[in-house]
Amino acid sequence: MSFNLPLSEPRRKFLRKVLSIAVGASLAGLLVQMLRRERESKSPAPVSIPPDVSAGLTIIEGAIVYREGEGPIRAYAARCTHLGCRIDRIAGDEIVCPCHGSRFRADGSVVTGPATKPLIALRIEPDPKTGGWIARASA
Amino acid sequence: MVITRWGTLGDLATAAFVVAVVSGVAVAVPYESANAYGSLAAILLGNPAAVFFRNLHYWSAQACLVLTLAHVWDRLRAPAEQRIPRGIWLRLAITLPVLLFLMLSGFLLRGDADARQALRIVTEAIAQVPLVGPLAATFAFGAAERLDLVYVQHAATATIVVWLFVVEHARRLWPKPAAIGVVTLVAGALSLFLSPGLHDGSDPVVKGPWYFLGLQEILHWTPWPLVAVLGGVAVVALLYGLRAMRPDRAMKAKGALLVLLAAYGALCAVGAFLRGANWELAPGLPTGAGNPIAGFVFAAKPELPVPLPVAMGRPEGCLVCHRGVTGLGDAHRPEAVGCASCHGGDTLALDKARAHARMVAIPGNLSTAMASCGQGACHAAIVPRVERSLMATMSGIVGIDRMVFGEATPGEALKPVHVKDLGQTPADSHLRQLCALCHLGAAKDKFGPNDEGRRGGGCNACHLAYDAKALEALDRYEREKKQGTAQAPTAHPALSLDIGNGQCFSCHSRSGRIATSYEGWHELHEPPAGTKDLAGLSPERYRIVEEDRVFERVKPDIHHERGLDCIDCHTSIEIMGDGRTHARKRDQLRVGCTDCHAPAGKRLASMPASSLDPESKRILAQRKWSGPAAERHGMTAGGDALVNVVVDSTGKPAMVRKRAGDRRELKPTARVCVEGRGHERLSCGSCHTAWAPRCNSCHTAYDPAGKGFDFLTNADVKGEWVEKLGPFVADLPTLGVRGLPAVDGKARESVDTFVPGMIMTLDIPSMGGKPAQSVFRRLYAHLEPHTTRREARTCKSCHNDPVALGYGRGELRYERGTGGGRWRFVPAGPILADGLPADAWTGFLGTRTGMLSTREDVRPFSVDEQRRILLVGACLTCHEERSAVMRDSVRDFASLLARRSPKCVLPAGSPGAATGAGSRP
Repeated sequence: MSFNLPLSEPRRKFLRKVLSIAVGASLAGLLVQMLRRERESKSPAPVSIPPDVSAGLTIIEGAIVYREGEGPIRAYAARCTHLGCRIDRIAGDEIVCPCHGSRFRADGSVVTGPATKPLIALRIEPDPKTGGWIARASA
Repeated sequence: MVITRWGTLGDLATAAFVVAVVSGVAVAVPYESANAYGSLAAILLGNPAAVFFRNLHYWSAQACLVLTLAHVWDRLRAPAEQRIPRGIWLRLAITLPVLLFLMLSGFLLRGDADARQALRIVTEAIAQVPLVGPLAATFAFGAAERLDLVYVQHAATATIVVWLFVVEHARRLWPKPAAIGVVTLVAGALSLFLSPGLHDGSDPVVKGPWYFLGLQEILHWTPWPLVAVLGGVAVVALLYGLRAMRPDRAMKAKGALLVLLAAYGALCAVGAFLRGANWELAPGLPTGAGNPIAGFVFAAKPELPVPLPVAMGRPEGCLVCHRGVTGLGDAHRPEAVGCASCHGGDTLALDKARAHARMVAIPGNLSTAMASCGQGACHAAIVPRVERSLMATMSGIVGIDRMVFGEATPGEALKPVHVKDLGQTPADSHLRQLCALCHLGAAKDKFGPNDEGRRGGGCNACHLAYDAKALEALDRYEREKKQGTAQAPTAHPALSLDIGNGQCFSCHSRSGRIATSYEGWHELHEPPAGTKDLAGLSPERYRIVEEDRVFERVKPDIHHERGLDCIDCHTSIEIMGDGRTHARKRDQLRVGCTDCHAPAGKRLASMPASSLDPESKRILAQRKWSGPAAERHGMTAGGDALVNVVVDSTGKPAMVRKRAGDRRELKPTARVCVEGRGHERLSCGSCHTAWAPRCNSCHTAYDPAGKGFDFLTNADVKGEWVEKLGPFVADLPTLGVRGLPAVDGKARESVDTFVPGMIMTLDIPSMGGKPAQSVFRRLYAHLEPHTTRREARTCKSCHNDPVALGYGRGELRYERGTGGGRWRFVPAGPILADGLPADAWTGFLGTRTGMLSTREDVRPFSVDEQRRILLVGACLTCHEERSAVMRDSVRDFASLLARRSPKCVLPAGSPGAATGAGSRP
């Protein structure tokens, strides 16, 4: 394709380059915007914790719930802070990531790596419908 | 350069790529990315031709990767990089990671447990690359674990990129037909017999594809995943950079790459052969469900129903063979939950050996319960509770045993412990051999109902119920098994809330023997004199249980007579625990007599039905009792709901029998129970317990030469603990004092029932333990014997009875003299080294210190309490029990004493004797 404008060859080349970069950059910008929006629109679903949840550590859907006796409830995302694996097992008093073996204590802190960050705490709200709680990602 | 008869390694790699593409197009027909696992499962179960194409796709792809790496190395050796134009060389370097992406995305498209974790890992790892990472991860894999996008990138984007770059490099559109032929033949042969499996999530081992096991291992060792990602980028950059290097430097770089590749291969081997569940070392051949499984793809299979059986939303092959299984009840119907939910196994195999390879024939044992009963959608909140409950931990028994053996201080014995953590000390080996069979963690390893010989089994210990049909089917199965013709029975035992007393009997017929006592059976130390054959004993009067234990019929508990089962009183929270670890039984038990029998003149404590906790509501819904729903339900003093205690609008309470569904009126206590202050400290059981099994002495010794059996490991061990028991007696319990939780900071006590717990000599030195001498213990134990009767024990059975007062058997006589009365006690049994009769808890009008009981909050009556009890006892030597005087004594003993007759002779030194003022007994 060529533009039949009365321009010299170097100038034409220059303009073509500028136009290509502009169009390319615009498309790349749109792509970035699309990907960003796509990422932002996905957030984990809240987890409903029943009022009779057991004391100690329990995994309910995407949440690890810790209850000390009849005391307050704490919940963490059942997602390893190392590389995002779904944690689906409790090993004694510890939470173990099945993918790379990170271990966490009941308070979410790291026992052994590779994870270095504690489990991400979820916000707990009472659920008047069930008498239990709802755990959701902190805003 | 390696040139085979079918072409170069590059030709073969390209041919493998083409075969993978073509077979991929074929397998795309039955594959659904939105239902990846389900569609692949359906293929594996019922579409052998599709299995073949899937296998061909898999094996040709693996061949393509291996051949590509071999080709790269072959050409780098040449060195050939200098002969390739720079642009093409760049695109070839890029082809390698794109090919890896193609392989990995193929793995992700399985949609099984391994693939879902891999998708999360790869997305997160790429997202950690600064700036471009998050967007690149979203571009390649989507933002919400979407397989449809992965499918597009796999089948279109990456495939096209690789094909374009390879065609540009090879300068031909199609590889040589001979190369395609040989790849098809080899991969096809493999495809006939080796099918990559699917990981359904039941196996705790999570592994990536074989070529990424090294990466998985690296990610385990480094806290910075970015290192692994950037390391990969660096390798590609190094490959590209080879072309610009001086030949000698390039050779060194290639050597370094080779070393790296070898090290990486070693790491892959570590991941494949050494890693087990929870990332622990478990050397062995890979057993994960995702590994290729051997078996002829077109082997004859059972006729498949159309549509395929589905359970828990997934195709389940088990139901193809195991059709028409009945008896499990609504909640556990195989049509709803399938077989594998409980039994595991390979749901996608129709070959018996393969399908049953990782099956759990008897699920419910606590060691596997989280993967069966406790899995996510089922009873995940209950199984951890049970694991921490006393019937699983035996904490009290372990703590007390260690205390008695001198291995724990009374304070240490109050800490929660678990039977599974027993060591090899004398106390622990004693428990291993004599006690460790009776806990829920003991594995059930034989079919059939639990009985006195078969205990434990986790959830099954209580909830597995065999009816006549299931028993008959099991009997037939066991018979046919011996003949080698057994077919799995279709009559399955029920998984039920209707837990009969027999379930409790298997363990609770021992020690305190509450299950047998409740039904009115008292164990005899030895068969009745003159018995030649146990089978000849009258079944009306005697009951023979496992190990030739002989029980004699005595008075049953009134609640048993009225048809109540153990579960009618004991709640789910009591039995399965409240989720907390408790040291002792008293901490876990919740119910009391007055939860059903309101104190005379008071209303029964109750709660509105709307306030029931969710577990109680679920139980209520499951029970489906007939009749209108109750407006109010009973509750324990601690506020736990009693679902089967219902209160009508007039306040009249009734108990619904949990299994039968009918109602029994609940009466309040007798007025005499709450009259006056005389008996206000007495527990209901102190008066209403008819009898308790008493074993007055025993001797435990260790025989180093004997052969013992360790119930914890189920193995014979050298050295045996031997228990020699004294005669058992069914007699009224001894009374003593039990501490109660303080209320408003005020300590409380209750008079309660006790039996000799351990009056025994422990021959510890025989096991080489400390102390160096035998230990004598004189401990009584608090026991609720479960022999409640409506009629109370007599006044004299407490106030004038040496056994009740803790002196042991003998003659307790009141002698009147001129200076007042005097009690005398002549023991019936021998006096032991500690100066007390063999069966005594405390001395006559004496006191004891040190270790008195199996628990720290109980004691025998103090001297003052004994004197006060015996003061009333002195009255009873003249006055009839039911006389007005004795009735008055209960209401106000002090004023009675003040207006006593001059003829009354009180014991010398009794409280109130000198002044004429009485006091509370």
